[in-house]
Amino acid sequence: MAEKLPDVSERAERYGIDRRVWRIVMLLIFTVLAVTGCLMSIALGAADISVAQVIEILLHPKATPQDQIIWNIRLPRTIVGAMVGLNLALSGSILQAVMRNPLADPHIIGISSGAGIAGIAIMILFPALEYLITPVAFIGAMLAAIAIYILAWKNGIKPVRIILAGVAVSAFLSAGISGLLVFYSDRVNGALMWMVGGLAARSWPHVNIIVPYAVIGLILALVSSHYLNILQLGDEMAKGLGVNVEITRIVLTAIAALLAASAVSVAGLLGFVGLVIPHVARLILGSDYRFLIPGAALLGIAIITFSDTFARVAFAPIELPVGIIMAFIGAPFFLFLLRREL
Amino acid sequence: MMDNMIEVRNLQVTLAGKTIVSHMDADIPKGKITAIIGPNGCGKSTTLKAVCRINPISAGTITLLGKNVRDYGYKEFAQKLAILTQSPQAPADLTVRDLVSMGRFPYRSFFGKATKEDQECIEWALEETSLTDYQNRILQTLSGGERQRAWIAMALAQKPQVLLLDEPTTYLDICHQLEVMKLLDRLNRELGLTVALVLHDLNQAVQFAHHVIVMKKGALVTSGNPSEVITVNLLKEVFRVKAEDVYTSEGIRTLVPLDLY
Repeated sequence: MAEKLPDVSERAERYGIDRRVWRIVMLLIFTVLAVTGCLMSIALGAADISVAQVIEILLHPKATPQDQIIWNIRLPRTIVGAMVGLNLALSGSILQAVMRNPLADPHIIGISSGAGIAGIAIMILFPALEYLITPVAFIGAMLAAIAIYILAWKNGIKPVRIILAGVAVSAFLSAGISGLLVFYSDRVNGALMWMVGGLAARSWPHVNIIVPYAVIGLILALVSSHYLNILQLGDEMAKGLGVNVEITRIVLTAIAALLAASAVSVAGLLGFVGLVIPHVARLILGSDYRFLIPGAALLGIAIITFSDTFARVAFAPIELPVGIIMAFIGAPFFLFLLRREL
Repeated sequence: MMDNMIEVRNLQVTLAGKTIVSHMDADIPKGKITAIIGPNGCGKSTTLKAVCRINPISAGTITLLGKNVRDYGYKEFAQKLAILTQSPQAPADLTVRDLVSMGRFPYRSFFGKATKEDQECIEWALEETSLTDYQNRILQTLSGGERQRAWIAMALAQKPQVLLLDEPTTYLDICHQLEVMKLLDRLNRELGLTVALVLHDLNQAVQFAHHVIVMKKGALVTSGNPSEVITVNLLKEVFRVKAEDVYTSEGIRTLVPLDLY
């Protein structure tokens, strides 16, 4: 791989800042960002409610109209957004290590499309089975991941081939999703939101869908952080250190697919979060996954809550899907990474 | 029979439909340094990687300490045998200590908590490779020789009984080559560590190895005592190189390649 720019944590060390202290301070700052993002997302909107009022309402719920707005509309939407950000950021972080590919992201790789087509098929064709949406989306995501591995496999896996296979799989599945949406346009409200990813009208049922997967996914990601570290030494050294590389890779891909699938189930095909966030976290914290996983999770929460608030407030009364904001940030970032890493 | 750390019998390795090694037999004696030599593409690295289970075996058997390598658990195997592949990669910001601590992976529980014994092993491995003062340096900022020592330290942290290295001196200048070879020699003498390595420099093989395995076209040519095996005639047969014996003032025999046949 080409000579890399020194990352921020490396530069901090050159100025005599202990790396461990730096990382912990940065994680605390990320925590503040995530909490601020969530509070802003709850406080800002069509009805004016101050942060102080928000905290008061959250701590001592009453039955005022403001309580209704916060408890029934903004709070669940914020939780869904935070969990979607967390899931996609973790999914991208894991995929980048598993595929040894800086450009891996559930959206670009096509895993999200796999989850999307399976999820939308349930929503349209078997609406009674909506509670199965995440497990089915997970199966779709895994099948897409397997297809990409098989298509990209030719005497080993090369980063560029994974991206290209992912683009092909993604285009193929997206066409399928578009087709379904066109044929059954009456059955899907917010088809556009599905395609670009958004949080409009997300409420408590969606919280129930995503939270268990987010919790399980976060725990699994934290537990597997030392496996992710070792995989960065390459397959051969990882095997030499006693890692069952094939099984580890399948399990980790499954965790990434589960995280992406549950995010897609509630927020549609929201792109670039899984690409941008792990890189920003890596730039600031370094490549040690024990810090990278919590860092990416916190930044994922922060970016979605901030972006969604912006998407709701900036062009009021028109509400943009948050996926549009993410694409505006993410696409240039993708090009930047392409020039830097490949 | 337990004089051999590793025994390879009738090994065949087929990768992507191409048979690279066949009918290969070799012994790696316990407590000795074994050099594997042969022309490019003769299957040296392939054999080494088959021994450490990176490459799949299509026929034959490989035993480590009398037990088929297939029958070891993943971590159990890594506690007995460490491998250093050719020019391994590491993340750009990894420190020497980060790397060495990864050598403790085979001893860690599922949750990966480092124990006091792990820390002691890391300190010890850093000391053995004279890297204690370098432990917080970033691997990529080190010279080639220092980096190679850091990888050897990682392998040492595995507390293996045998260390396999794939061309550890390639890409290093002559000073760093010697430094790495002398380090391996010392580890072998002081710790009794069994070492097996792929080498290109035949004089280094004569100088440092106790046992040599010569390969050509995916099979064993001969093996034995380096100074008896590595001769002008072997260079002709195996490498197509015309060479001559030259003796230094201290009476050390050196092969000087002169021409191609």
